[in-house]
Amino acid sequence: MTEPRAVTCPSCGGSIEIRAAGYTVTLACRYCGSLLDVANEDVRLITAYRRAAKNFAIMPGARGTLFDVEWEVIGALRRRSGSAVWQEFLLFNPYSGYRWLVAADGEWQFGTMLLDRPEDDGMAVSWRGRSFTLEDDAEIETTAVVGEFYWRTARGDTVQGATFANGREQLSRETSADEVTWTQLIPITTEWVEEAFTVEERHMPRAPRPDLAEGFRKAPGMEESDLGFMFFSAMIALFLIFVVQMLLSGPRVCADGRATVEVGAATSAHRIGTIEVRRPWQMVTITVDSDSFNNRWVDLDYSLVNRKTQQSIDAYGIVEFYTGTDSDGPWSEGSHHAETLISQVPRGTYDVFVDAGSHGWPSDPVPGSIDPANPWGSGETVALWFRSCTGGFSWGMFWLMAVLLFSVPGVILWWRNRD
Amino acid sequence: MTKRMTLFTAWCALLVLMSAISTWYGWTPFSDEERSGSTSGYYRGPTHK
Repeated sequence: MTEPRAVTCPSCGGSIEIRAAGYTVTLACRYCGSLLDVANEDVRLITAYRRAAKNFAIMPGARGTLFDVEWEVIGALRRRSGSAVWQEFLLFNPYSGYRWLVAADGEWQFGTMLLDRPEDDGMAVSWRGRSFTLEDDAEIETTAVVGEFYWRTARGDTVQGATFANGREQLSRETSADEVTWTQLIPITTEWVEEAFTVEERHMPRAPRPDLAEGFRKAPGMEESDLGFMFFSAMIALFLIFVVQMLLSGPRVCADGRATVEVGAATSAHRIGTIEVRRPWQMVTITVDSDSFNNRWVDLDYSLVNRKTQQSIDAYGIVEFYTGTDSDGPWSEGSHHAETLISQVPRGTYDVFVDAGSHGWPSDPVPGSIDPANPWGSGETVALWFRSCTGGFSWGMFWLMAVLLFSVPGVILWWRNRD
Repeated sequence: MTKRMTLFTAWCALLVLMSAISTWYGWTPFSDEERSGSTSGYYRGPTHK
């Protein structure tokens, strides 16, 4: 039997008890997480860490009885392979030696290191007359260490781990640069472990994250096909919203008008048509197309004047088009077409007016200068063709509805695949 | 049909209904009765770089 020995952490000065004195080689300080070499009387600092590894389901120092033996948890490892994460707890009893308790995917296994090596024939092994089939073979990385161990271990250690199964019993083979170890793992119930030790459920390793396709199909508390139905329903609803907007926004009655605006001159007023809103409320859309000017803009202030009440509804638009050349080459910006949407226009007959003013970029043309395209004209002008129609389609509303519809299944999809 | 699917179907129906009502009353929050920030002020010109 070994007597516990106390050492002082050279990193933080904390007093640590070595429970398996004489066997323990590596000790991870429970206060600061630093790795210590305790094989000799002089405790040597291997790696200094600033924080102790925490958040283990069972912390070192816990005692409990499993299989009629009282075990003390003297060390804990957090390990991962790919997206799978699990915790391993080193149990120690002075008379029975070392055992392992492994927590993965909410289940527990009890591990015993094998002294007789199984016969390995590639995809299967034979041990004590029974055959175990290869299930998994991947690199395993140690991501956190706390407590004491009978071998040298540290965060970042990697080994090649293979698992062979016969029913629910497993044989685990770990191959490092120095040695090959075999461990027999048998499942034990959560109730047994919780009766023996205080288990912090919130620190139990979670099941590996499913890949995106898997996550799309499955979610806690949902039938597998629900999310697919949600996206399908959102698509149908969005199509209905499109059809409803198209059908309910009519009837569509249009009036055409034309205006010519001198560039750099004062704003001029033009009457561009008369429209009749026949429904109690309706949208009105005014579209404008211009001739192909360059580096000019036209400000458009629209007014719908009700013939009966003389009340005015105002809206704004702009036509602008610019070109230039910079270090990346030629560029252009703007359009010779613009659309203005006016909402909630009450029933009535409206004269449509526009105050239009055109200017040049970076400056207005010099007064009296001759326009090369129109040398006999009085000045540079921009021609505008207007079409005013009752009804309209609000793309802003359509995309807002699309966001509201798809955000629900989108959030569920994100929730399933979050870290 | 699960409870969550029933709720989502109701949510879709509510949005379709809201869209129909807003269209019937000719209302949208994305109309041009107010000058947008990019077209306010006196100076205009390209925003290229």
